[in-house]
Amino acid sequence: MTVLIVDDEPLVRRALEKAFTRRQHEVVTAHDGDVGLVAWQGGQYDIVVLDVLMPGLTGPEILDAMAEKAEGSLNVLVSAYTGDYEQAPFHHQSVDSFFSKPFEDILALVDQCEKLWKEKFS
Amino acid sequence: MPVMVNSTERHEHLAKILWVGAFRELFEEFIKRYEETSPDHNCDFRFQKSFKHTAWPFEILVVHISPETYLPEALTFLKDQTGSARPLIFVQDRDPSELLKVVNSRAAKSVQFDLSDLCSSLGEALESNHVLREKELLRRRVTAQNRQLEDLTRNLEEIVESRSAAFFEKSQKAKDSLKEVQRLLKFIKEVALAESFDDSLSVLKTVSRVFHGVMPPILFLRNRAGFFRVFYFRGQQILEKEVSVSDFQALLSETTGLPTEKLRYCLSQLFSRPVGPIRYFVQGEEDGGKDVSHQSFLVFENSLPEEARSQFDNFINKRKNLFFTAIEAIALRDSSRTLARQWSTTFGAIPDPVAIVSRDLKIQLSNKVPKGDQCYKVLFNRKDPCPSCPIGNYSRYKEAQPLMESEQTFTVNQGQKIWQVNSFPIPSTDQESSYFINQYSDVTLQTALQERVVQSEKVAAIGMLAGNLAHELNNPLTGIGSLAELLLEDVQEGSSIHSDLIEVRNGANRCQGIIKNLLEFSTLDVSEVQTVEINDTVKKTLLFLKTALRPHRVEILLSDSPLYFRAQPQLVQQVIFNLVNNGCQAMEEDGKISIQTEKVGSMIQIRVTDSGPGVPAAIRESIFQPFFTTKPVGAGTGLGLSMSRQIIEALGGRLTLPSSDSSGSQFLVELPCLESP
Repeated sequence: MTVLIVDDEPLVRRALEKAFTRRQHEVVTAHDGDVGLVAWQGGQYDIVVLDVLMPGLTGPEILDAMAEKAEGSLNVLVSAYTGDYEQAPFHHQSVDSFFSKPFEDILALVDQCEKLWKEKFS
Repeated sequence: MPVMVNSTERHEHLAKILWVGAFRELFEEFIKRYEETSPDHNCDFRFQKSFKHTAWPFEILVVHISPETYLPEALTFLKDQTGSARPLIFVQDRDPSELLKVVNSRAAKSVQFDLSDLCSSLGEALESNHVLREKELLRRRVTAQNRQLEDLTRNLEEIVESRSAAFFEKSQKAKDSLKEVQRLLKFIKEVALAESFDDSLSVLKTVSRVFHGVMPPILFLRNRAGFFRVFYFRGQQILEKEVSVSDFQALLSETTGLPTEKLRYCLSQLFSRPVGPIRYFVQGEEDGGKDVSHQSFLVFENSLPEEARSQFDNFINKRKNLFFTAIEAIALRDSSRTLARQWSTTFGAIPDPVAIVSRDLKIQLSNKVPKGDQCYKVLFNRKDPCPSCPIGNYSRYKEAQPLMESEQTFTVNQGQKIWQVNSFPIPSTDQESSYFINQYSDVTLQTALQERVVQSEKVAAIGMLAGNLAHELNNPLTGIGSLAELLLEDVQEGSSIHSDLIEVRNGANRCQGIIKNLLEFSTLDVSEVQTVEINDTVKKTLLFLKTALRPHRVEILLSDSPLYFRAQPQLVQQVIFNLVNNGCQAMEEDGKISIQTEKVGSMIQIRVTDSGPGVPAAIRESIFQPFFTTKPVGAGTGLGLSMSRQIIEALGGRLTLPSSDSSGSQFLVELPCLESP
């Protein structure tokens, strides 16, 4: 599957890219919200992984910008921030799942995304 | 007739000598002889032949008895002589024995038979006559003078009497007016001493009683608010009524007639009873001022007879203004007393101590402390002025310093308390008599609260910092951990790279744990009550105390089995943190601190014991009070224990300091234990 990863932390991008690639997925990365939106608008992706707080547009803002087009992919939010006040973004209508950083098991995350994709589109 | 007896007069007076006898020639001879012998004596001689009475006022009588004389006639003539001078008898050629009877009975002056002898006798007779005459003159003069004297005396007496009478009258008048003045003075004194309206009215009533038929006075006292306060007697009691000036004027205009009649009508309406004839007196000029609505006035019902009315009017007019003045003084005194009382109450009710101090810092007046001593002594128990005192400092400098001109505020630390003193100078032209008003506010609580707020904000800032830090760290940690995870798949299990990578991943996990803990502990949002395990909580808390615990020996004695309770996790962590931190701070290097958890009965007991000096018996309870601290001012707010106790008690537990035999302190936290998680 094609995967778009939008996160401003290079280590996070590297880890996610490596994990998804290991599972034979095609990965495109973007290093901030604006670049991410452009990338998403310019391509077709099965899975989109968005960080919440980034320079430029935030994860939820990107989803807003994509509007109905976001329904064509499995949208996953990741965040380093936990706690109640962060919950709001997760209730965005286009969010399919959420993972908090640091990831306990990154490969399990990839498995979970595959599983969810199958549930959403089959 | 001012007649004086002197020798010249003697000769001027002509003695009247009457010769009664037959022979004129003898008479003339006699005269000749006489004048020869007595040239000094001038006489007026007259001759009379018959022995008949004569009207001529002779002084000396010479009777010539000759042989031709008819004796009975002569004797009769002699008998009829009533003059004072005894007659001289000249007997010529007759027998004297015939006459002796007469002579003896008539007591003639002398009987002579010879002309020469007759002359001498005449001379003697003249002498004695003269003397007699003079005596008579004297007598008359004396009498006249007596009479004059009497008249004078009488005049004098009359004058004296009339002057006495006048004097007496004047003295009586003076006495009367003195009495009147004394009465007036007495009235003034009594009325001035009167302490109340009632007293002064009673005085007035008593003095006006001297007039029969006068009733006790009714006083209409005009006050500033447009009212009359009406004081009147009912028996011995004095009652008071109020009527507004406008109502009063309305009553006056309801009727017509003389002012007296109108006033009488007013009174009858006011008191709802018939009112007798009245005399009224308005405050102000003696006779004028008949307008009764702008001034205070007095009214007397009376049955005075007409003659007594002007006397009564006079009497009252002399006294009325004194009375009104006294009444006004009483009203003023009452209102000033009320004001003084109000001020005193207000002053006393100010919760902060307020004191007026002189330049030498002696308290002149205060609402809380006695006056006399210096403020720093009485209020703060100091021996010398507070260091920052703007007043006290002036007396320390030799040169004249400009005295404080405007309000200044300074702070005094007195043991545990902090005072803020606002000092206001009372303006005065004389520097020596400067005074200051000091208001002392206990700002200990305020200061502590402010510190608490600052601390809270610091804590909040740190909390936020911790939060931010955690988030900042999470990102790279993700990278480290996840990449390590992925690498592990690539390397051979059992190789050294594999084990190293495992260490890397573990390290990353540990970091995650620390960050999570930190976030949990420093979160500003208190989570909901959850089921928490105590040993878990203790262990988590201890992670934050590594630095504090480093110099000491630490003993952790946790219960064998997990012990569950319901609480907000962070709060319990904070309590345990507080107790352990306190314990560490109480000990010198290389002390021993132990944390023990166990279940006793239905409670979880957590004991934190240190080997420090322990808590003195005197403050064992005080340490749980808010703001109690043994640290100097500003170095700690002392909220830890009181807050900790509040948290534990809110969870249904207790936080105590049980006394123990060994030295050091042991704090005991008890929490209700859940039977099962």
